[in-house]
Parts: sequence; C-alpha cells; structure tokens
Amino acid sequence: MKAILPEARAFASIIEALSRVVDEASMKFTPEKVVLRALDPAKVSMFIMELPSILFEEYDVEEEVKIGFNTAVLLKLLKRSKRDDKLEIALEEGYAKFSIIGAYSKLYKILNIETAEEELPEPRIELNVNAIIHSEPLKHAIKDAETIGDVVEFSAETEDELIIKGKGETSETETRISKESGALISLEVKEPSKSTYAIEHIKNIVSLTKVADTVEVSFSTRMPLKLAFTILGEGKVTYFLAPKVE
Amino acid sequence: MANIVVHEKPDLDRAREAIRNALSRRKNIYILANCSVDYFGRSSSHLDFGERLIIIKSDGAVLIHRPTGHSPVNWQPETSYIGVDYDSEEGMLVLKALRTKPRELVTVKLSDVFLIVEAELRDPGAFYMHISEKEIRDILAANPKLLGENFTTIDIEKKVEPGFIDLYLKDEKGNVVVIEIKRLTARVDAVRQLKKYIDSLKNYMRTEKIRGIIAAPSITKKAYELLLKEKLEFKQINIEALAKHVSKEGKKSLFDYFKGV
Repeated sequence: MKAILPEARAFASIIEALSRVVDEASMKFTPEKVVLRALDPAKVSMFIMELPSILFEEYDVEEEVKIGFNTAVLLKLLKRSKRDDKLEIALEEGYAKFSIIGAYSKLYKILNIETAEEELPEPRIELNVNAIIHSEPLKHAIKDAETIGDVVEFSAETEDELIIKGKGETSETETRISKESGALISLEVKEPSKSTYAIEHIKNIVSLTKVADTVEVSFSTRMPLKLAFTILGEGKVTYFLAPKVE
Repeated sequence: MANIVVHEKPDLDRAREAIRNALSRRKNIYILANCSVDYFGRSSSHLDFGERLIIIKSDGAVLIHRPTGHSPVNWQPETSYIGVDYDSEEGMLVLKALRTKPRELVTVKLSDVFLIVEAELRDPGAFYMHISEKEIRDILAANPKLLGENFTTIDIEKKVEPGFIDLYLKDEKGNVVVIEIKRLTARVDAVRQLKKYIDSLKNYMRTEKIRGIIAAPSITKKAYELLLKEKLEFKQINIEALAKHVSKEGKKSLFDYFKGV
C-alpha cells in the first residue's frame, strides 16, 4: 500500500491535535479513503479524520490495511516538514513507512502497532444549533476563555449570533460571532440552546484552525459539541466533546 | 437517645431565642417557616417568600429545601458565621449564614415560623459505598496518581490476546504499566493472569520494560511469593477511600449521548 499526500504540514496539524487526545491511534486505508477514529481515555471526546483518496497525489490501496502508530512519535517526524513538502505513507512487511518528500527526503520507519481495539461506531446525533463560522474567531474565543477559567459556554438564541463565553470564578469573557462582524457564515437554531464544555479538552484541537478556514459548530443544551473542520477541500476532521454536567 | 426540643408555631421572639440558643450549643436545627432567601457570592439570587425547610447542622452546614425536589435550593457546606436577628422595620427574623472562602452570604428572612426542632444527634455509623471493579477501574483511570506514583492513563480495558487489561498506563520514566485490579484479596490466579497479559504484550511491543502491578485491598501470601518471583508488583488500594470519588451524578461518557449505540 502506498499513498502520497501533497500537504505534509496540514497532516502535521491534524496529528498535532490528535496527539493531545490520544497516545495511540490507527488509520484504516480502504480503496476509497483513509479513516481514523479515536476515543480519549476518559471517553468524553472523539476525534474522527476522513481523507478521501481524491486528496492524494498517489493512492495505491488494493485491500484494506490498518496502520497503528504512536501519535507523539509520528508528530515528531511530521513537525520537521516544511511548506510544500509532501508526505508518503507506505506499508511494508509489518512496518509503516512515513516519508517527508521535499528539498530532500526524510524517511521514518516504525513498527506497525496492532492497536487491536474494536472499531468505533459512526456517531449519530442530532443537534439543535448548527453554525458555520470562520475558524479564527473560534480560536480566539477559546484562548480568551482559557485565561478566565476552565469552562467555555456555547449559546445561541436567535439566528443572528453565536455566543462563546469563558466562565471563571469572578469573571467572564464573551465573544459574539455574528453576520455583521463577518465571522458568522450561517446559523441554524432549531431551539435556543446553551451548553458548557471543559476547556482542557477543547483547547487540544485549536491547532486545527490552522488548516481550516471555516468550522461547523453544532451543539444542543446538555449535549455534545461537534466541531467539523474541512481540510484541503475534501477531507474532514470532526471532534465530539461531551458536555460538562454539574 | 437523641435529645429533641420542639417549638410549635413559636412567635418570632421565641423563635429567635430558640435558634440563638441552639446555635450557641451547636445543635442540629430544623426550621419550617415562610421565608425568602437571598444569596450573594459568585453570583447572586433571590427567592421570593414560600414555605420551606431550613436545616442548620452542628458543623455549620446550612441547607434550604423547598417542598418538592431532592436538591436544596440553596446551601452552604460550611459557614464561619450564622446569626439570627429581629428586624423591627420589616417585622421579620433575619438569619444570616456567611462563608468566607469563597465569600458567600445567604440571608433568610422569616416572616412566619411553623416549627423549630432542636436536636442533639449522634451518628457514629461508618458508611460503606459498594463499588464494583468497573467503578474502581474508572476512578483509577481518571485519577491514576491515586496509585501512589505519577502515572498517566493511556487505555482502559485494553484488548490483548488472552483477555482485557484493566488499566494500561505509563509511569514517570515512560515505562508501560499494566494493572490488574481486584476488588477482594488478590490470589495466585490474579498474578498468573497479569503475567499472561504482560507476556502477550511483549510479543508485539518492542519495549522490554513492562511493569505489571496488582492493585487490590490485600494479597495472599502465596500470590505475593509468585508475584516477587515473576518480578511483578503489588499496590494496595483502599476501596472505601476510592468510593468517595464515585460521582453520584454518573458522569456520562460521550457514547451515552449518541443515538442507537
């Protein structure tokens, strides 16, 4: 099996976020796409990556294979990639080979780890608020909230505004994402909703805002938060986080 | 035999005296009254007049219960000051409970007192919360440092060829740590089970150093001898102490929210 992804740096940002959620993960290569689903040890968040074969410059996968890896180890290699570098992933005799192809090639050969975990099911969930916003304001809202306390509250009452609040013991920060400011692209509110999430988990995926200009934010009161990032046009990284229930 | 003093439909003067007396003697006080509640602290709230139960415990904890629902509408787990005074302008008793860290003040205005019970209660009973092996595992997975070392949880119920590893962690030095949890005294078969898991892991992991630990309230002598022979470790866990970490709300995992899973 061999696949060449033209944007190694984008993949590095994805793995960077993933490495903060789990220490080990496995990518399943099928003839159509690459799928990765990981659940954090506390079982409150899930990281899903789907890269269809069309994203790859070369995609040679005849039968389904799995590559299990240590996320920190893979990240170390990927971090060394520069802009315009490509990433080649191949499987050879029990070893996963990751190569950065650019001005010169760097090859990393790691033992394919049998992560031997059950396949995580495709999450099915209906949420009342579905917003598409620019990812920069999301990153800033979360960073602001981090300075105040350890929870962040997402709320939407009308289809004009998405509000992200950071709540601390004695203070609060508020980021209003609206069409006027240009940060809000679309907002559907089936029912006014408000839900709180732990920052220690959300901040892990902030690095994904580097690779996606927009993000789909969905939530319902006392239900999980869903953040979906479109990567390189056709790929998707989705993050689910259980609400913080008092 | 508990010492109980009951005041039925006391006028406000008598109510104030009874409450003051009981407070100074650190008794448990139960008051049924028509009252309003004002809370000021991290946030603030006001509850209009209604008939409620006010509980003041001998350790200074204060709770206010409405006629329905199981949770108190307002509560202070500890207070540094509780006092009651008569407000002649409003013609009501004012009960104030102050907490200093964080600073919170609950002010209860009582317009009508129906019942006051002063009680000196003795409760030496030990509390045993029955927790399952799964709950022990979940508590240790969320708080691995409870095992006495700077562990990081990597996985729980990790599948290996012979079965499932309860807890799969990493220690400070980066070594892989496999933990087998037993709710009761660990016996020889537990040690053998742990050894099987470790041998299975060694087959596909390049790491030479895998630590195996039995976590249990106690271990039999024979099991301990086998443990030492196999270069495994034993960590004693206190089930009662762990039980305190069980969240009564039942913290939900992400999957509890998904449909049809």
